Amino acid sequence: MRLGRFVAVSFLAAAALAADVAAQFGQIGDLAKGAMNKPKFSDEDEARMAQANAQEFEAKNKMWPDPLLETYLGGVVQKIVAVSEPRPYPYRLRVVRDASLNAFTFGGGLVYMHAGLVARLENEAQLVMVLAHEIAHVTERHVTKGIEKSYNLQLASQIGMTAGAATGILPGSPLVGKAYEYSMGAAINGHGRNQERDADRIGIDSMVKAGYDPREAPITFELLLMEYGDSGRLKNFFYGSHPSNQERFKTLTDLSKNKYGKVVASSKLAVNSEEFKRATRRVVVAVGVNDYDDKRYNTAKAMFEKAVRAFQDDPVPHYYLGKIALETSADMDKAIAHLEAAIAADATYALPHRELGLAYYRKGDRAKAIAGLEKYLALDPKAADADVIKTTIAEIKR
Amino acid sequence: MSRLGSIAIAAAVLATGASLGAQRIGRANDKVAPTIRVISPAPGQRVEKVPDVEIVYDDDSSGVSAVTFRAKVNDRDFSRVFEQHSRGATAKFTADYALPLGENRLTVEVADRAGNVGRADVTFVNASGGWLVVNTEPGAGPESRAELILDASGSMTEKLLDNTRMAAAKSAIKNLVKGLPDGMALGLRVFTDCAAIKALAPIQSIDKAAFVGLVESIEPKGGTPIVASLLQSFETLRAIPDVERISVIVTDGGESCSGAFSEVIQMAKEPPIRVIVIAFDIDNAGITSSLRQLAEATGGAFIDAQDGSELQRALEASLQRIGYAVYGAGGTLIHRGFVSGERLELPLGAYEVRFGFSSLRVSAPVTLASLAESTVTLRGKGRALSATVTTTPR
Repeated sequence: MRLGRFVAVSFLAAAALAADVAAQFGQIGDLAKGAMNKPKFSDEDEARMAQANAQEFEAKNKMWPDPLLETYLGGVVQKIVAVSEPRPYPYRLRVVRDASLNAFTFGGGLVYMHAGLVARLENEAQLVMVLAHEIAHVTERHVTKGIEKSYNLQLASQIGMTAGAATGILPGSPLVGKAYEYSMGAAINGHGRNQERDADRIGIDSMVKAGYDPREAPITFELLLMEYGDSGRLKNFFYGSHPSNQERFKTLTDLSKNKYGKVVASSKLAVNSEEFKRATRRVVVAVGVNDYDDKRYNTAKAMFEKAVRAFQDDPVPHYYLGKIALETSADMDKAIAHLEAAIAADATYALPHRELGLAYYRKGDRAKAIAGLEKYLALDPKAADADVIKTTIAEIKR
Repeated sequence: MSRLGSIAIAAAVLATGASLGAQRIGRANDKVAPTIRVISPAPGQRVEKVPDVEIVYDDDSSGVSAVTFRAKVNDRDFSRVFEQHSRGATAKFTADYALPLGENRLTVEVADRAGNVGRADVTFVNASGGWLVVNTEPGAGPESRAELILDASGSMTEKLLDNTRMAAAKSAIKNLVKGLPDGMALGLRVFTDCAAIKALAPIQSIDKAAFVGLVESIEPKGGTPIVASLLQSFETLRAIPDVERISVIVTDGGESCSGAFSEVIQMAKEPPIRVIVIAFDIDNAGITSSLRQLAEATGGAFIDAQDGSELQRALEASLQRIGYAVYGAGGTLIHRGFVSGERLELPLGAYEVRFGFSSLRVSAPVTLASLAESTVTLRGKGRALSATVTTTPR
């Protein structure tokens, strides 16, 4: 299943672009300062506005259809909510069918994670850090505060009232369109440096209160750069030379060592669970296939390795690992080992036989090359490349 | 993927990370691998219940990279079973992850974030069960009479690999007949359509050449009257007194002539007749499920055969081996098979082995002891059958 293009900037990039956004918003906010000091959004307004925004977002974007994953993620969200500042509405998490690295909230308890980010996290503690960060945006009312700060407060008030009055509204209202515009801007650019900093601090605190190892918090940010940083553009998005991200990493590292050092030393805090590995397996494979199709072989390989660790008998990641080895290295034995593992897991899966034949051909074993290619044709006689493969077999036989 | 290979990949991935990160947290200077200790099971420990596995690991410098954790038992990767926490990892080995009895070797690897790999291993003895072997003395068993019913419906002309199903079935039966003991009583019935069911060979001492000739003459066509052919077979078997009666049906599809399996099940009760169904190249879960229910309701067996060689093995087992079943506490079916001398690994406890005869009840209670092998042996002939149990500690 093809995922969305790798285009968005992550929640992690919030601070990276926050300065410009904050400056721009600050100018607008300054005009209204002194006119009104209190938030104009009630809890009900926020909930309805978030619902309206979610409705619009979900109409424009595909969600990842995986009830097992959503159930699991919902359970993790509840663990964090149980230790967070209460808000008067239920939380709901949905996974967006998008391979990029992002998570965001519309407020009102509605949180979204991109499939790409779910797939790339190493363990449950890192997942908790991401979700706790987003939930902190909710508990701190960053969405509504951001709107109030960003736009003329009178307009913000109107947005609140319109959203509040409109159940099942939108799209169409220019006022609520502004709220959506703000929310999506924040989804991409973050809520501003201070809010992001608060969300990090509150997030790591929730993480510890929920019983997770806070040392995974800074690594959550860092690994997404380090392990999948084979593309320069990613590096620029996440770290590059942005001092705010360096500060972010340092702050979280210091907190995990100092503020939470005693807890870490005296308690057994959770890092990973079997359920995390099981529930995220499908999305890991899908993101790996997406990476492979986009020729990001290092990240694809990391995804398939992760999938194999979670479920050794899944033929698909073995097939792709074999294919990647075949296409990117001279190590045919490694390619053959993976392709044979794929066939052992499902002997009727045609594609690994094709690649196995080609791997043996490159290794100089003509008999096994022909056997692999013929088996491929036997299993999938109507394959799109059947004629090409028949010609290839004839060539090898000469 | 080899163990070293996977760790090497993890290390390489870590190494490809921006030097920025490595410098920031002092990874470049970390040359010391994480320390790993297996707390439970203890080295050499003999366990009658596989304990929760508890592993402690730590890395003072760059910190443990949880994702690199690997735990293998006897080279089988169990990493996914483990829950990881801030000090190490734990796992419960439930029935889904049953370990073999006897000596087991647990190996653990984990890398730190600089790529240094720590390793530990421990060997322990799983004494949580014993082995059960079911055998027969040479020549032991009841006097039996069997009729083979062959499906010669139109679908048997369908292609199977390089031949047709019927050609594969004929070949399997011919090979079977060659290997049958002289004097064995076997009949042959064939159906070619709903109203075309014919007994080709009576149930009597087999004339191998004639039997093969009859098989060769079969031409497939028409529908699949499973129920009617079994009922006719029952009529023939019922007339033979004081024997074990078996109908073996080979079919490549479900009932297509409006017969009801419930009638077969009812008629197989008295005198008892076992039905062994060999499903030949059937790719329909609904059909195989109903055929399995039919067979098992008569105390018989269901065997799935996907090609000619599997069909031949299924026929040999049906006609020449004695079936048995193992029941646990409360009469729960644990295992069903044909006597072949195979060793079953079972948890400690009390079991009952019942031999699969329709007209005789022969069984033996067995209590499995830790790491001991209990053998249930069928003795005697005709209707004077018994089962004995011997236990050998290992």
